[in-house]
Amino acid sequence: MNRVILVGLLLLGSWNISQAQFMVDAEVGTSKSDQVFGQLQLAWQTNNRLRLGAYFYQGAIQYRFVDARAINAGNISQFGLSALVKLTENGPLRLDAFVKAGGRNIAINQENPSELTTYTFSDGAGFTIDPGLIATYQATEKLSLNAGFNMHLAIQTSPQTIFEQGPSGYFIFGLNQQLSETSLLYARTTVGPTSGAVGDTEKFFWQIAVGIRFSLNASQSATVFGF
Amino acid sequence: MKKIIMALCALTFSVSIFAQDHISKVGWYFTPEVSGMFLDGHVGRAMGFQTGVSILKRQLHVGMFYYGRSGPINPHTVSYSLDEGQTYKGKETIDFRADHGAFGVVVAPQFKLGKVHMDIPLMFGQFGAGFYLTDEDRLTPDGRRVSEWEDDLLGGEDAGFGWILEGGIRARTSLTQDNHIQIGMGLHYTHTIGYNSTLGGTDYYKAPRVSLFLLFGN
Repeated sequence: MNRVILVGLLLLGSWNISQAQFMVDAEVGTSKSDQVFGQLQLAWQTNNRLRLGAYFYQGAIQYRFVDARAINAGNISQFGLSALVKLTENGPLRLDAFVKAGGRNIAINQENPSELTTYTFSDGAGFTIDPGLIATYQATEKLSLNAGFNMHLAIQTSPQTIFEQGPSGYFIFGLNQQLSETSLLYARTTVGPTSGAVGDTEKFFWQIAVGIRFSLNASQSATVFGF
Repeated sequence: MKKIIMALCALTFSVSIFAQDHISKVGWYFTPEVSGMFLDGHVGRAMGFQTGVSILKRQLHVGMFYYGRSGPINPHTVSYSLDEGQTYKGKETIDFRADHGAFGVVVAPQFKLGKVHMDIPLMFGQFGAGFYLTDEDRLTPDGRRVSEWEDDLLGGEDAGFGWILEGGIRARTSLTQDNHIQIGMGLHYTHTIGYNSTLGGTDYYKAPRVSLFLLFGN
């Protein structure tokens, strides 16, 4: 165990902490799953290759699933971690790999959770994993485009374990506009076919989000690439 | 623990090699696409993508593909008369929607005709397709999962799985001077092996497909 700690410390020490950059993303949106949602993410750009983050997501449900049966009312909370790694960069084009993973909790509306009245629902819990690739094209000095995909996987762990969704390939398209040296406005859409739970759950997903990114280091600009 | 550390080192090393590809012969590409499938009496709408590496001086793309023809964006239905004496929510005839998904590997030789980039994507992978209850019919009368009812109503063959083979030809042109973003169209033919279902038989998805796509890459 001591060796593991030592290796960990060496890795931390190899990063140039003085160049580390912290960012906050605040976004709101709507999706097929949630009428409205909000997400806050704190990210640490450790160097020009690796970004680590933690996010919190809260949404008002309009079409999600518990026990592979549709619910239409309730709330979802999710907390997770993210990582983004630069793979390559060629002039204005850059490619990053990313992964997001988190636990989630669905609190159903106890009075009227679903149009399916022949089933007794209870709250649900589970986790999601979203690995993917994202390309960024710097179109102008202040405007960049994103295109990529993620392979969404969702597993319900309570009340029972169900392979709820995926792995399903979603497109991602985004626009990023630099507002100032330390702020960035972005819009993003995620869309694609999906399946899970032997076809009982979601079959098509879409999401639209707008957000703003702030760099917490006043002397460093908010980066436009990736997630 | 040694294995974990070695795996992390190997991963870091492999990422480092990929990161240096601007000085190597290996490029990458990502092509989101929408497509229309000429199925039985209607055009099915599908979405998907290909991604992978570009090798041999950018003359060969090797990677993976994924696409799906999702039910909610395909309103076409197939009517099915239940067996005599069998009903579902009081009905003897039910409309089913269909969907399918495919995932596998793609190899695509590249060439140019004048200023037009051409490629011949050859795809092979796994394929799954089903027919499913839709709209109000998804609210089952007894709370059972809807897939259990679909199994019962269609004799356990509401869905099927098999292999997919697809060949095509695509043309694309640049949207940017640096060729990093391109747009194109393709014509493909899909062939399935081993697929069977009550409503689709064995030949439902043996059909041509046209695609419209963007390409991002270096």
